[in-house]
Amino acid sequence: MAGLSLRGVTKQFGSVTALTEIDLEITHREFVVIVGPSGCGKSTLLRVIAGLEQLSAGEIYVGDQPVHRVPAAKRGLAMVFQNYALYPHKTVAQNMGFALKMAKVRRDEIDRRVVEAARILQIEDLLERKPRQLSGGQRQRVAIGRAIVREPKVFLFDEPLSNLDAALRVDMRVELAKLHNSIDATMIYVTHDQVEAMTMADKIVVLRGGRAEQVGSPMDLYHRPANAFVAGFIGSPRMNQLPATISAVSSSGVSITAPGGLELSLPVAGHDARPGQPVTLGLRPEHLTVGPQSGGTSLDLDVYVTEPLGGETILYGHIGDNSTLVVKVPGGTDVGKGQRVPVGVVPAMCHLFTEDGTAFTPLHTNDKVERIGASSS
Amino acid sequence: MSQAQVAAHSVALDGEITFRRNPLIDVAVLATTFVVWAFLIFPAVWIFLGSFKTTETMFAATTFSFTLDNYQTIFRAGFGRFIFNSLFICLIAVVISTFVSVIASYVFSRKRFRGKRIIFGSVILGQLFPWIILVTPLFIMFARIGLLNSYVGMILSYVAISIPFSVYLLVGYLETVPRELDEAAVMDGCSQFQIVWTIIFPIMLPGIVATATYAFLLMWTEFLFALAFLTKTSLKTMPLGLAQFFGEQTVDWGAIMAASAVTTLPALILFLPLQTKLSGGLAAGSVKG
Amino acid sequence: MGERMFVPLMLAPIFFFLIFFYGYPTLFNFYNSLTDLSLLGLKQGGAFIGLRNYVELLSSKDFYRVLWNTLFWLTAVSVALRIVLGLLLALLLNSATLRHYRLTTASRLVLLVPWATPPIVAVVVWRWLLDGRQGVINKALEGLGLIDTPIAFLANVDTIWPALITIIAWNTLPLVTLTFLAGLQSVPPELHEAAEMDGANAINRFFHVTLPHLMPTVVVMTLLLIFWTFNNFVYIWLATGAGPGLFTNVLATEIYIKGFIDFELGFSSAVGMVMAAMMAVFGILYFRFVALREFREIL
Repeated sequence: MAGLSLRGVTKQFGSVTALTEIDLEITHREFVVIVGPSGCGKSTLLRVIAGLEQLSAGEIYVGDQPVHRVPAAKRGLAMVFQNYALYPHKTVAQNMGFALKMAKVRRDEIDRRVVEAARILQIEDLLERKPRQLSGGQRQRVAIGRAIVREPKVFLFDEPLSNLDAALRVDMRVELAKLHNSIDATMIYVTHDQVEAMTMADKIVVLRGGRAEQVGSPMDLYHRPANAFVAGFIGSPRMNQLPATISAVSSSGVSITAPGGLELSLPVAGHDARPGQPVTLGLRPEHLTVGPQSGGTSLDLDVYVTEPLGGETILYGHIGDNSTLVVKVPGGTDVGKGQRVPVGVVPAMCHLFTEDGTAFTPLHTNDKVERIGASSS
Repeated sequence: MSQAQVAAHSVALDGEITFRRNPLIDVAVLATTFVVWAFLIFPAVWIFLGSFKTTETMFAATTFSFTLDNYQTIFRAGFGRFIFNSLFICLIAVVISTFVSVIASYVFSRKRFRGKRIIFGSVILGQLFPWIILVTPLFIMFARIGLLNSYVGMILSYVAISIPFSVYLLVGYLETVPRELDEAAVMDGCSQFQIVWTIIFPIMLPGIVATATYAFLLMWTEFLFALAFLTKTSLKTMPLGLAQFFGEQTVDWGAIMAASAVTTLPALILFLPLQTKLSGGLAAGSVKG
Repeated sequence: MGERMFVPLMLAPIFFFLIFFYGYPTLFNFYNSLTDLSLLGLKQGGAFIGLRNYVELLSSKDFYRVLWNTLFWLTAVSVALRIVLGLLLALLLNSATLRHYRLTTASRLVLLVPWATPPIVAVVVWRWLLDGRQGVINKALEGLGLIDTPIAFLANVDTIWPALITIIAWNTLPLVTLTFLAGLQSVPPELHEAAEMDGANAINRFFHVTLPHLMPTVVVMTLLLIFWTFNNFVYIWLATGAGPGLFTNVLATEIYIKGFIDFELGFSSAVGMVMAAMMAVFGILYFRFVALREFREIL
């Protein structure tokens, strides 16, 4: 069966290093999303896998076959491009069948596979049109169809939904998930949109500056981000990251002082931490609660903007000196601009990062944390 | 927005906002326009009228007697041969020049390789190269290898002088063809040669046609190389044949106008579809960046 | 065929033309400029005479007249005139009035006529119009009572350069105008609207919105016109034959006259090298400020 593995993949353009020793194991039928801000190397990584760029060092295996010296067309991969890259002078059917024609597949076999793919994607009546006669969503389907007819072991998607409008994007996201369920192939998907990553992926690779910051399931990345960057990148609204100072270290955790007079004792491993060390406290907006606190720790928030979204409301406010804190509360919550409200913090839901961004390891990864997170996200 | 400002606008039917115009300015603008039109068109109209005029009425502004004598004169003087020579040399040269420019432009546009900057730079700077400087050394070279008074020599020279601008236009055009198409073709299993012929060539056909037309016009009106390299009457091209009517003591204006009309008409027809592309391209290219 | 040979194979033909029609001839020309090669003695070649051709050239008064003609009359005056007129014409064609009467497209077609006219035909027809005895222009001026005796525009030293520049301008102004018009039409309308909201009147908008947007096009057009005009042989040669005498002689015609009429190929080559050196200065400017920017994605 065809998984894909990358070992020490490195790519340099002249003196610029675009990818640094990427290691990645992808199992058969897995849906992997590579995500990161623009310029992080995610597209380069996909193009290296595809064979559009030669790698500078490292190895790529499809199944147990090394493919990094194999021409792009012979790696058993198919790619869906960001702007679809449909040949404007060919019909939809010719676009979809072109790879097979190049591979000298028999005419009737090409027709059969094109019609079959068109049926799956519901574009049978478009087969004789030219790309310019199609809408954006239809072009997207043809681009996917072109990949399907090749019956590849691995599908590569390069930001395929970024040119579609918001509503269509959601539809296509669901379609892609359905497609992944119905065909027997591995999918690698590049995007800068963390929502796409969270909703579609079995496994997410977070890339920054050509390095893999963290690889894991969406829930892994959400609950146990390896560093402040991943923590900030995954989740919406972004995680609040406040400067804090360690006040004490013990075997049961680390105590910190944060803006607004917040004193917390977090259940994380102290290791080399020492009192007085500056750290970053990470608080997800959805893990904060507003209102009279029954227990735990609380701080005062001076709300300056509210964003009611219907089902939920986002509060922006100041704490202590001038630090900003974002809080997500249920839609009905009655908080207005200019109000001061108490905000509750649950130590078990907090994240702590060293100055260089590395996360402190939680002392006990209990199921309770996972459950609370799942219900509130 | 104040009411006066609102009134200053009148929204035209096509949705474009136009400004209310002063009628006096309108008249002045229109008058200027028609004077400019007259300046631009008059000489060309004069050619076509003159080519049908008899010698007696040639310089008369008011009298006009129609004749085809002038056309008969030039064809008796062998102008048909000049037309054939021009067509033969220019058509073959255009095909070669366009082919050479297309494949080179593709490589310049898509490939990274050592020395690209200097090679591409040389080709582009070829546009600025004074052809007159090439005439003397090429004349000597051609004389030594027997390419003076030959179709081959003219064709090669015309290919050489048209390449720089053709490459300039084609590389500009290729920049509008997404690179992802090349990559999609790579994924589909095309060799690099197949990408050029089965994908890029058909897609950029409009640009290629425009470039070929331009190259053709450049060669069709070329005078200097023809003057230096062609001395045999049987090989002369149209511009040279046209200039030849000046040679004698008396100038046969009727014949010259007829020859001018025959030379200009194909150029005018070819220019019609080309003009927007060329001028728009220059503006777009320079605005970019 | 090997994929690795792709780039060399695709570039081989253009290399052939670069080397045999640009590179080698230029070097050969340089070599010839150091000899006394004569058109009559092509077989035996010329004798090496060092820099004597250059010394002779640079110490002759005539050469500086040729240089003045080339740089001032042929290039500076005609280019400046066309840039200014082209800009004015483009503004005229883009004016609200012409757009209102839907005359912009018609004007474009009118502009096409002189543009499509081959240079040789342009010269021919203007020689006819400007003819000193029977030319239409003389007839018209006489008819209007502005002159008593016809003027030989292309022979009189006072009118010859303006006449030549008129011919050049008639033939090449359309390209300048249409290019500027395309530039004008690419100004985003929002910019004008924003400027208007900011209280700018038409003149302010021209200087603060239109002109800055058009400036790169103007620079490129100016450079291109300089090359094309400076290098041009055909207008002067066909209109005046560099005459009367050598009154309108420019570098391009000087090269031709020295080489093919006086048969002094060696000397003619030296003039060519001087011309190439001057062109190289503009070439570097063009490459630095235009080509490098326009093609920066691929370089």
